[in-house]
Order: sequence, then structure tokens, then C-alpha cells
Amino acid sequence: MTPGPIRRVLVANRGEIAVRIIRACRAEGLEAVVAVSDADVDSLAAQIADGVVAIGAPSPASSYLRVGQIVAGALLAGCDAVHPGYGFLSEQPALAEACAASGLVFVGPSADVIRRGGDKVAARECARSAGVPVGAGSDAAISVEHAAQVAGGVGFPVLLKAAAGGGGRGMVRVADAAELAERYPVASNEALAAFGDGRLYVERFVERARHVEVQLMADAHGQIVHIAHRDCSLQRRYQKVVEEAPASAVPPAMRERIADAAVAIGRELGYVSAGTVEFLVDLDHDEFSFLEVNTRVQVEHPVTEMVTGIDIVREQLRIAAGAPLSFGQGDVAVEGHAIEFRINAESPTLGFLPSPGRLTTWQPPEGPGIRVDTHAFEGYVVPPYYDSLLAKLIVHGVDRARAIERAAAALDQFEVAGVETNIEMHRQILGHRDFIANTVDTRWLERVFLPDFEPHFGRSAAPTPQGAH
Amino acid sequence: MRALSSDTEAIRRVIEAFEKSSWSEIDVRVGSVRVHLRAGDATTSGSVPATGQRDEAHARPEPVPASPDLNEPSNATAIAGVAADEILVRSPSPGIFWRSPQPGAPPFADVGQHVHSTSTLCIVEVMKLMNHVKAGVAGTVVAVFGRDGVAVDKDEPLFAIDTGGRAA
Repeated sequence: MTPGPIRRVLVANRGEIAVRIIRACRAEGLEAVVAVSDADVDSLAAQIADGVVAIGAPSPASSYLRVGQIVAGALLAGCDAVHPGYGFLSEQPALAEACAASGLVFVGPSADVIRRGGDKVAARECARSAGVPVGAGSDAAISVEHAAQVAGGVGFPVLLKAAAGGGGRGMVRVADAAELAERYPVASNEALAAFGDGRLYVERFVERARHVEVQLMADAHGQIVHIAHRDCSLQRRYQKVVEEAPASAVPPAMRERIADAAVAIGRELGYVSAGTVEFLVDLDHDEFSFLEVNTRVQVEHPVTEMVTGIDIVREQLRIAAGAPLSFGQGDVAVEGHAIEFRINAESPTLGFLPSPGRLTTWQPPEGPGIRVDTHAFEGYVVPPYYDSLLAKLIVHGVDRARAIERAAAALDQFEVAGVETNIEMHRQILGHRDFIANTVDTRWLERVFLPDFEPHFGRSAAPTPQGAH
Repeated sequence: MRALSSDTEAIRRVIEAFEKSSWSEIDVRVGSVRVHLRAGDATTSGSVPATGQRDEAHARPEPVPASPDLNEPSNATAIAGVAADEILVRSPSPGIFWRSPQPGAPPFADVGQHVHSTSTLCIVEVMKLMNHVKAGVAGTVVAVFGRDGVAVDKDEPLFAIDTGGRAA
């Protein structure tokens, strides 16, 4: 990253995060130009941006995933910085590198940090040298024999994970040696196809774990702080569904150890910008282990903003311009509790079949303590080319119980027609005694909740999401 | 929305970035200014110098094409007159039609190919979910209506299969 004055930012993303970044640019007094595929020329981001660059056909491989299109688009539009958002090219060192080569500021860490943080094997090594516990397993399983040997050592079940994977993609749970032998070559080939890297590693599968992550913020002047924890244990197929801040199920003493571990990893990486360190927490055994580093802004960053008052995206822009952090560790205070619900265009009763189409009704809830981050509007046509996230409903309350109360009312107010959504599923999650008691784990949604929610769940001929098997 | 100034300086920076990159092609547009550059390749570009250097001939503002590829009809083959023994395989949902398991790979099924009822004919991708569309009947593929990478609607015909009377 080359810190320097920023005047005009290319937003190299779409959907709600593009809208979020444009607004943060405006708040910082910067112009925002959005890169759009042919499918997004009428998007909300395109409507509110100061300018638009057309970067190609709807398929991500023809537009949002092409480094050359992004960099050329930024230069043609006279931008001096590129904000990658999340997903797409946000964790590709090639984009950070290409930006630097063309004199563009990349709003994120350097290519080198992205590379070391993004490679799961390298990140494990980094965590270990920072003195942070990593899950029992291998650092790189180069063959099925080696994987079987490691798995035998740590005990089945294990997870086979793609070294270049992340965000829950490229993971396979195997129960025994026979399944490992069967799944290993398939998983390796899938990883090669999806990430261009067939390396796998083995990690012990924690049966009842909570997913806890720490938001880091670091500037180019050596200051690094942690901004509260998030609990993202509610997941389906390793994809987050509901996220909260703070991680109130984790005792304060352990939270402190986890935050220290995250900062140690951030320091070891030489981290700059906003980043997240993810951990698996085994509350039964009072243990936690490093999971992965995400070198970008997270989907669930708003829950942290709601409890700390810190604007993470604005802070990213300031850091990219070379400014020091606008606050120190002592200024970070957590107030109340926030919960985020990912509102997806999908049908939970049809095996979560995605549901693109025109929004004939779109009435998100409003009121104190309610925030909706979205790119949707009445009449918007949800395109079939991208993921199904329509909106993030974030609620804040003085404590978790009040936040749940407020969320229930907000979800009741949320009216959507024209596409299927998972709003009803969220309503029922909120009312579930395990969720209220805050005793869920990362497998709870699939193991406990969904079989009751949907009688045919698991037996339907539902299509398989890419990369999940 | 305010227009941006895409002056010659910006275009020059794009060309410069392209020249020192390994990108094979870029094609970006701001307002009425479009920059389309392709790496020198005698087989794909007629205006490439014989030295094989990068082709700058397109590096000028071009008018925006009136009808981008996206708007071309995806099922150009006439569907009228489907024979009695032919079954149309339709798209299960709106999505993107993919003929092969990954870019560059041979198609799942082509005209003249015999398929079983469980054979995958194509993928219809909807919001990152890959739906493998099965033939549903045994027979011979006689027509492919979808175009690779192009959007299809729910129930849009994708393939015609001649069942030889067996499924009639």
C-alpha cells in the first residue's frame, strides 16, 4: 500500500457493500465511482455513486473477478484508490499488487499480508509463531496417506480444508479413514478448480464449537487495536446466518485472551487496515484455537459498529490515505448488544433454493436501534448471477435480551414480496429456547433447528452449493 | 449522477498499465469513452503488428455498441416444429446456462450425443448454486438452445432430445 491523499475511490464490488462503501466515501468527503457489470447498471450503488465504470458481462469471471478490468476501470475513471469490499477480488494479492503497480491506493493490507494471511497453511504457521494455539492437525497434507496419518493422530472426525480456501468454502468433514480416502482426491480437485491450488490440510473437527472472531484495526504507523468480538456460531454449511457482538457466551477472561491472540497475529503479519481473526472456541474445555484471518472488511462488520460506534469502513479509508487511527485501544468501549440477520433471497422450505426476481414489495423495518444495510428497493430485479444476500438487518439493544426483543419486532415489520426470503426462518430462530439461552454451536442450526423448521430438510433433492462437497 | 472527465491522460494511464501487465484483454467504459485493448495475438486481432507487440489500435474512445452481446437471443434455434419423439428439457429456474463443468472443458452433452435419463446435460447456475440439469429421458440430443454463460428463464427450453418414440 502506498499511503497518499485520496480524492476519488473506485468501489470494486456490488450489492449492499458497494452502497455501504459509497456512503463511507461521502462521509469522508471523497468521491465514489462504482464498477458495474452489465447486470448492475441500474443498481442502487450505480444510482447513488458519483460515477460508474462498466467492467464487463454479468458473470463475475468476466467482470468483478478480473484484476485488469478493475484497475483499468479505476484509471479510466480518474480514481486514485480502489476499495475491494468483501468477496470477489478482496483477498486476491494480485489486485493489491496491480493497484500498487499503477499508482492506485488499495484500501486494505499489502499484497504480502494478504498472501500470508490468506494462505491457510501460512496463516497457521504465523499464528503458531505468535504463540497462539492452532487446531490440532497438519500444516500441509501433501498426500492422502499423509492426511490419513495426521487424521489418525488427532482423531476422527476431521475437516479437510483447502489451503487457499476461506469463508467456509473448500471444507469437507470426514468421519473415518475410508471416507477420507474417498473424499481426499475429490476435495483436492475441487480446491484446484475453485482456488487454483489443490493443497489440503487436516484439522481436528470440534464437535461443539462456537465461532468467535475479533475485529482488528491497524494503521501504517504501527498502531493496532482490537474492536470487540463477534459471535458467528449460527451457520449453515459453514456460511454465517446470524452474527452478534459482543460474544457474550464467552467468559470475559477468555475473551481477553482471544483478543490478545488476535492482536499478536496481527502484529506478526504486520497488519494494516481492517481485518478479522477467527477462532473456534470450545467452551466445554475452556479452549480456543486459531481458525483463519480475513484480510478485508467482513459482511458482519455492522454489529461491531453498532456496539462501539466506530465506523470501520471510514476508518479503512483514512488508514489507506496514511492517516493514523482516529482512536486508541483505551477509547474502545462496548455498549449494549447487536445482532445481525442475513436476509437472503432464498427459500428455506425448498432446500434454500435461491430466488432471484423482481421485488414487488420491499419495506424494511425502521426505528430506534434498527439498521438495514441493503442495495434492494421496490422494483429492483435481484439478478441470478451473484449471491443471494438482499439485506442485513442489524438491531441494537441495551443487552442481548432487549436486542432479541427489538429484532423480533423488526423482523415482523419486514415486508418483502416477489422473491422468497429467509425472514420467517430468522423469526423462528429468535424464538428458539437454545438461541435465547445462547447455547448454540456452529452445527446447531443444521443439527437442531432446521430438522424441526423444515420437515423434509436433508431428504429433499435440493441442489448442492458450489464447493460445499 | 455527475459525468466524470475521462481525458486523454486517463486513457494514457490505462494503456500504460496494460502494457506492463500480463492481462490478455481489457474493455472498460466510462460514459461514452470506451477503452478496449487486447494483447497482441495474430489469430484474434487483425491489426496486430507482426512483431507481436501489444495492440494499441483500439485505444481510442469508441462509440458504445447499441446492442451488447448480452441482448442477443439465447435460443436462436427455432423451437417451433419439435418432432413428436422429441422431448424439450427446460430450465428448472432462472439462472446462467453452462454447457461444461468448467471453462474450457468439453460440454456435458452435444448434438448427436446419446444420453441416459440420469445424464447431466448442463448446469444452470443460480446465485452461486450449481444445478445439474439431468436429461430425464434416454435418447439423442438433437438441439441445444442455450448459449454458454447466458441467462435463461425458468422453463426456457435448453435441449431437445429425440427419444426414438420410447418416451412418447
